Amino acid sequence: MNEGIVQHPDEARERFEELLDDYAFGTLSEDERAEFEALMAANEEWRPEADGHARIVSAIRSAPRPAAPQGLLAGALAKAREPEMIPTRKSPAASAKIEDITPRRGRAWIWAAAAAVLFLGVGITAWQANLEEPSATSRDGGVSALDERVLTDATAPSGRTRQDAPAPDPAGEMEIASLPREETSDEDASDMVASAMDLRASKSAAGSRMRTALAPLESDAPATVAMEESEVVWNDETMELAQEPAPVEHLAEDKEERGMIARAAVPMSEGFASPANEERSAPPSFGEERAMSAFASQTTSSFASGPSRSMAGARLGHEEDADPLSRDDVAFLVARALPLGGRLVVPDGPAMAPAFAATSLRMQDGASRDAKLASPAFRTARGNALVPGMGSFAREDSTTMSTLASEPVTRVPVDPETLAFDFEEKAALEAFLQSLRPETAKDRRAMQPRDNTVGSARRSLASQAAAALAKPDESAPRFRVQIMPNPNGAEGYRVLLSKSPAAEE
Amino acid sequence: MSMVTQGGDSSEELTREQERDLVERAQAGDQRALERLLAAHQDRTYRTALRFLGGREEEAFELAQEVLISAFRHIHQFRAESKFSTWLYRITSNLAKNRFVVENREKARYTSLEAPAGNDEDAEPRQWEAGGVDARTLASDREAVKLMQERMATLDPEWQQVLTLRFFEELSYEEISEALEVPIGTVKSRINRARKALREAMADWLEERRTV
Repeated sequence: MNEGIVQHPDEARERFEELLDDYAFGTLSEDERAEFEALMAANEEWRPEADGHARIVSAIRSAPRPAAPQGLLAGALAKAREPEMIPTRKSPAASAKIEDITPRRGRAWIWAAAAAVLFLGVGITAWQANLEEPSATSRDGGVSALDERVLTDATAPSGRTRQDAPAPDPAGEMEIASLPREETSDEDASDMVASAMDLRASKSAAGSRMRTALAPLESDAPATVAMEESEVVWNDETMELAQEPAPVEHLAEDKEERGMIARAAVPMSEGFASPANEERSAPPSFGEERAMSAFASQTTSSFASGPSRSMAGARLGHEEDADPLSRDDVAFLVARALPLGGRLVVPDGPAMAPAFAATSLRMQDGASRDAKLASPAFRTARGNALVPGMGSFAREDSTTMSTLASEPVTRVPVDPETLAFDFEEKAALEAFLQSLRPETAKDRRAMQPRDNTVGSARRSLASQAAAALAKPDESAPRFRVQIMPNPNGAEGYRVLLSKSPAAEE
Repeated sequence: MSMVTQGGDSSEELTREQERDLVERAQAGDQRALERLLAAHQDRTYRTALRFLGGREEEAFELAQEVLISAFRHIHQFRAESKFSTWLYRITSNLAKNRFVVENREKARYTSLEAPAGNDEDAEPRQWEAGGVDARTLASDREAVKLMQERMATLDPEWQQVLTLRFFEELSYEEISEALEVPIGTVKSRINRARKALREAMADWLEERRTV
């Protein structure tokens, strides 16, 4: 507004506020500056406001511009390639079809990945057939060297641990309580560590075991895709984790879905189908990486504490009405997992899990109790992760945790369908899996972690937990278990637990 | 394979054309393009998260990661009608709001447990000495910024967001409107109120500066 023009006070004020930031930024044009000066001349009480604002903006502009901390993007990219967190609350939208929570595009990618791996399998199978030693145990003719070793561990053990075990049910369902148990020797513990390493190393090669009977892709009719998926399975005979094949069928009703499979499969098969791929210098393309990542997420496992195959069915979209875990179930699982070093993966979404991790750190840093309680991250994590009455899971900071455990905690996962725990050490995971069995005195001894990678402190805690928790109880809850390599890229495993229908019978 | 530029304010500055090209390639499935795009914006994303969360570095890191993850997974939803950075601001804002909602819910839930009488729930919000920083001791703009961040953190989260976008990131009203998905009139009124609140929050510092 130029001199001589009369303006309504409200309009003048509005104009002043419009120009105020540019005045502070120093970006007013000549005309605007004159207008602004005129406004201040007419309203002297505004001048301190303008000067104060300019000072504040000047200070802000001098502020250091912090760069992203190291690992921000790398961590984000690693997590972004993981499957999205499986929700645990039962809702109409989620229902029992886990695949339904994935966006349409995501489902397509998974199937594209599966198809790609099918093609990949053919090439690797041929390659590995040349590499196989004549004496090696070959189950499907297409097993990588690493897979082979794990499989051999699982299927051809020394008679000491298996000779008395009943044969597993052909349907893949095994009643865990009916199986005999044996103490595990140091040699077995070493084997387990070796197997764990193999398990991780073979994650990306697991697709070599996929087989298919793809219906003609050009057909408009619904087509069943049959494949053999590689699973990580808790073998209750050997008390070890191992990889096993799991036949899976999927009815592809959607032409678009089949189209995705076809489009994605051809170029990727070229990229991965030969041993030369191992040496090629060019990294895999976006599509390839996404496909492999998606497939890795599919390489989940089953644990024969219930009908193991049904988890694969649920994962692939078959109808599977999972009963929610009760509060007692949650307490049962948490009380067994945490003393053994398992970390509850807070199931409400990606924002919650890191908050829990951060809280774990805070609780070890010697900060005052009040400071810990005041932490928003702690409040968030506590509400989701802790279970009332679970004082026994105190680990790193017993004083703080005991105090907290005695306080009322009102928010716990309510009727989750699935709980997830991360274990860094295979021995700890195996101890956890054993702890889900109805215990006997012998079992209580066996619950202790069994290899030297587990520190003595944790061993002691595990022992205490075993003693505290163990009581023969044939009515103990039964769970279905999925095991997968840690999807965060860290060493170790993630185990997903849901209610076994058998428990309801 | 990583294109990550880590440490230091070293994000690559992209021209509008470069950015558009990278977006197109990323949406077509080029992972390297997507990584480069995110690498170019990671510093800005982290900074914004840091400001939105009142300087809480640990949580800002988590929030920034969530933003980058979300952008990675939903790049196909970016319609390129605005700048890529504006889209990231929008994601940051939405995720930050989610955090505020959770925090407020938890705060309400645990008030009786954790807030003794006279806690800041009941305190006069502008008794700034409670923050432990005496404005009269401040001697530099850097300290002023620290003080400002502390005090901004006590303001309404919506005000924090507009202050951050307007004064730290220097976005236009239109860009803020796009980033926050609110009408431009709302942006203006929110900025006016936030500006006033910040000025009041910094009144002791301003007084100190006036007398120096």
